[in-house]
Amino acid sequence: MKIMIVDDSTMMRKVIERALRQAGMNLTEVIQANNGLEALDFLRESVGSEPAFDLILSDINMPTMDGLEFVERRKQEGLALGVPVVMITTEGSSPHVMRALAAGAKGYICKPFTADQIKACVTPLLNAA
Amino acid sequence: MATVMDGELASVSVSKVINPVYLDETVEEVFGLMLGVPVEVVEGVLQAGDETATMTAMIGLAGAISGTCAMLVRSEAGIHMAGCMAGMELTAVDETVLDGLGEITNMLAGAWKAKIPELHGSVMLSVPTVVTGTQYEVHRKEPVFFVERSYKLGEHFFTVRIYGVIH
Repeated sequence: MKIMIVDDSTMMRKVIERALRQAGMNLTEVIQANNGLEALDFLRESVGSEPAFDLILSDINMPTMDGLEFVERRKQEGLALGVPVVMITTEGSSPHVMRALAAGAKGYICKPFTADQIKACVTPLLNAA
Repeated sequence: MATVMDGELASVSVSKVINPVYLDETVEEVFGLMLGVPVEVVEGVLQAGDETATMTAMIGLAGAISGTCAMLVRSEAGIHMAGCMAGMELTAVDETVLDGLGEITNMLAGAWKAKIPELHGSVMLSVPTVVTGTQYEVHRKEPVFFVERSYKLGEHFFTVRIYGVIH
């Protein structure tokens, strides 16, 4: 499984990857992006390759380009629209949830989280993809 | 310690803001889930004028309240916390430790406001700031509310403060 983790914290990207592996995910490649703009660049570079990614997990609060703008721009540019995007963030409030879902995010996980919570959110999305 | 500096408590949300139980639950949740370590509440242990190197990680709060969520730790405690979170042994204050402390404080702020329905959707969080040093003091304008608790993590101690004004 090829995934992309979008978070400005190197520590959190490690924690998320570890939680996914603890949840039993077989990660063959993990692309790490520091913010939404880097993530968009990775998606643009992967145009034409199938599958670009199996899953994208993104924080919301990031400098340069936040996670909400990332999912909105991804939708506008039609990049990897078949790849499920899950927001992992401390911003679990309704306005943020609604905006992310409206922009095409498929799931939402609030920090702090457990490996089981990630698995419960991600597994149905991967099965449906 | 939890105090309201001025005015009368006029709403449920104000009493919730200064209720230390929400902060205690938040700290236990964040440290239990993300670091995998238990914490216990203790009396304040980081004294003014302490010359041991310390780190202060801060998250700004804006919206229905304006203020700061801050975690104050000694270097050894900060290194230990970051090591627990990273799942590896760390030996010095470096970018990983600073990053980890910032993220822990970020989660504390987010999880705390999520426990108070009036704040959950109406308070935004800033990106983390971490200050390090051996002799410094933090000066702030007199806040309307102030919640401070100290905790024990193994052999280490740390303090979490949330303070500001209510709009």
